[in-house]
This record gives sequence, C-alpha cells and structure tokens, in this order.
Amino acid sequence: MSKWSGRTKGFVLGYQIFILFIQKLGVPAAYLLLYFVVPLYYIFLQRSRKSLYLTFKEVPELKNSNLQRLIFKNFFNLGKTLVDNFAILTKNKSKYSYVGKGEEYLIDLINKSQPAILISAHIGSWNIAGELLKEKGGMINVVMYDGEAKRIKRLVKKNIGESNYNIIEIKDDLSHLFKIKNAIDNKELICIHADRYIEGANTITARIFDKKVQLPLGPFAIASKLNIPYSFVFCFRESIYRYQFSATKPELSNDPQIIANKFAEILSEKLSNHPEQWFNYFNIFEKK
Amino acid sequence: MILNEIIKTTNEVLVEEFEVEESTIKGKANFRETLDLDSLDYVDLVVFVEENFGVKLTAEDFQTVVTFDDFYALISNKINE
Repeated sequence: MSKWSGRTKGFVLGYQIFILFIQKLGVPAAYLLLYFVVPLYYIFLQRSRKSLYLTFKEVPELKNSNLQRLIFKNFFNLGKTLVDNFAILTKNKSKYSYVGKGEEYLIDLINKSQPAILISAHIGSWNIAGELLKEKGGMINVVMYDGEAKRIKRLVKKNIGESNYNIIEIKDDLSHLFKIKNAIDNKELICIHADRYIEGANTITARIFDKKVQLPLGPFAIASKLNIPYSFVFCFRESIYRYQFSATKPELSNDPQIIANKFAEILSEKLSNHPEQWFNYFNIFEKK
Repeated sequence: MILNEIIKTTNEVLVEEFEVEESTIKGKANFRETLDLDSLDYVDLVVFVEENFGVKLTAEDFQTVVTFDDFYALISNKINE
C-alpha cells in the first residue's frame, strides 16, 4: 500500500472554485459541480482506481458487487466529503448534525482533561469528527504529512480563516514526535491516521480479512510508549448535512501489536460496511 | 546532580531499554549508531529523561547530540538551566 508521497491529490485552483461555490451558492450547488469533475477524475486517476479495485477485491462482502460502479460512487463520495470538510468551516456549519455512538467516551476524556490518541483512517471524514469534538471543548491535534498539511493549511487560511484544529506536521527532523509529546503533556487529544505510511517508515503487521497488511507503527507505538488511552474514531457521511460518528471505549495497552490487531479488526468492519467512503487510494493489501 | 550520577543512571536505562552491551556505551561512541535508534526510540528517550531527571528535551536539543558524551552533557545542561 505504500509508495505514498505524503501529498493528497487535487489542484489548488479546483479547491478554490469549490470553496467559492460553497460560500456564494451553498453546499448543494457545490455537489452539482461534482457531476462535471468526478467523471474526469474517474477517467484520469487510473492508479487510484486500480488500488481501490485491488482493495475491494479482497473484501468478502463485495464479492458479488459491481466494483467499477462502487469505485465511481466512491469518487463521488470523496467529492461530497471534501465539500463538507470546507463547508463546515463556513456559515453552513449550523446545518450539519450527526448521530453519535461512543461520543460520551470522548466527552469524558475532554472533561477529565485526559490526553488520548484517537486512531482513525482515510475512511469517512476526520475533519467533520474534529469539528464536532471541538464543539465539546477539546483541543484536537491532527498529525499529517508535511506536504499535505501545508497545502490544506494554506488553502483554509486563505479562503476561510483559521482551521478548526491544530495540525502537527510529520517532518524528517522528528519535531512532530516532540510536538505530540507536548500536546499530550498539555492534556490534549491527538488524532492520527493509521492506514497509510510513506516509504521507509516503520510498519507493523496485522490481518485484515485474514490477509497480512502493513500498517504504520507510529500511532500504535506512541499510544503504548506514552501509556495513554487510545480510541478508534470514525465519522461517516449519511446524507446531506448528516454524519454518523463512532468512537470505541478508550483502552490502555503497552503492546503496539495488540492495538494494531484491534484496529485492523475494526478497519475490516468499516471497509466492509462503507467501501463507498474508503478514501485510502493505495492498495492496503499490497506487500511491502 | 553530578555528571557521574547522570552517566550511571542513563547507561543503566539505555542498556535495559535498547538491549545493548554496557561495554559498547562509551563517551566518544556514536550515540545513534550504537543504540540503533529509529524515530520512535526518541519518544522513549524523551520519556526516560523526563521521568528520571525532570527535564524536557526538544527536537532541537538532539541536533547537537553525536556521541554519548554529548547526550550526558545535554541532560546536565538542562538540569542546570
């Protein structure tokens, strides 16, 4: 699954056009624009299509599904989710709502000023979850790759204002590890995606649908080394302005393998139930 | 805290945490290579220094660390700051 450069696809101009539509014409108009954009992405992003196809092929529940149709739907959902990610930072925010499962665990962490690692994946929308958590008063730090972080920060700042969470950029100088440690010392929450890694990163082996996969070691190692609770957090789009949020009961473990195994188990379930919102365009089953 | 105490405590922890022979830990030896440090090991080092000496290390601090002597000096300077 690796070979990821740490950058997310998408053109700055494209994002800016969408932001303009959201701000001037509203979210449904931005969705309409997707009907012109998504087919082009579907045609030209062959590698992403292939990766999704290879991933979906391993999902037992999708055995009898039309995978190409599912991939198109997936691209479309990515577009809608990106629109929502920006829209929730604008005056449209009040229109968004969610149903939550396990939300009380995170509220409890926030109320007790208990630092924790929220482990998630490129499935559904973390941005929406981050915004919903911010409403509860928690300080969220999202760990992401340098190139990806800078672009998003720049875009949001230029077009909307300050983003709704703090971004910790993963850098070669390891400064992110110290920033994560500082955030934990300040009793804040850290969100890390644990379904994708860049070449050369340390990985840990887990099993998804009884097949070996490599996951980045970092998120699991940090939770275990710093001995802080971890929770698996996901947020899926249900319909327009409506999201479904879930968080598992925070647990402690000093063994990264135990955490990785549990994460792989829950990730298998999410991939089976929400393939149309699986936005990790790198074949997770590819051997390292 | 005197330097000898810092060296003794540090070496004891490094031998246990990084599973290296005590004889390989020498003042002039390369810190990173001897301990075969990867990025996540720095988290262990930061936690160990904080727990044992009550001081916080930053990413910039490690830029000056090449040998074990540099690491001991770093801790000592931080304690005396």
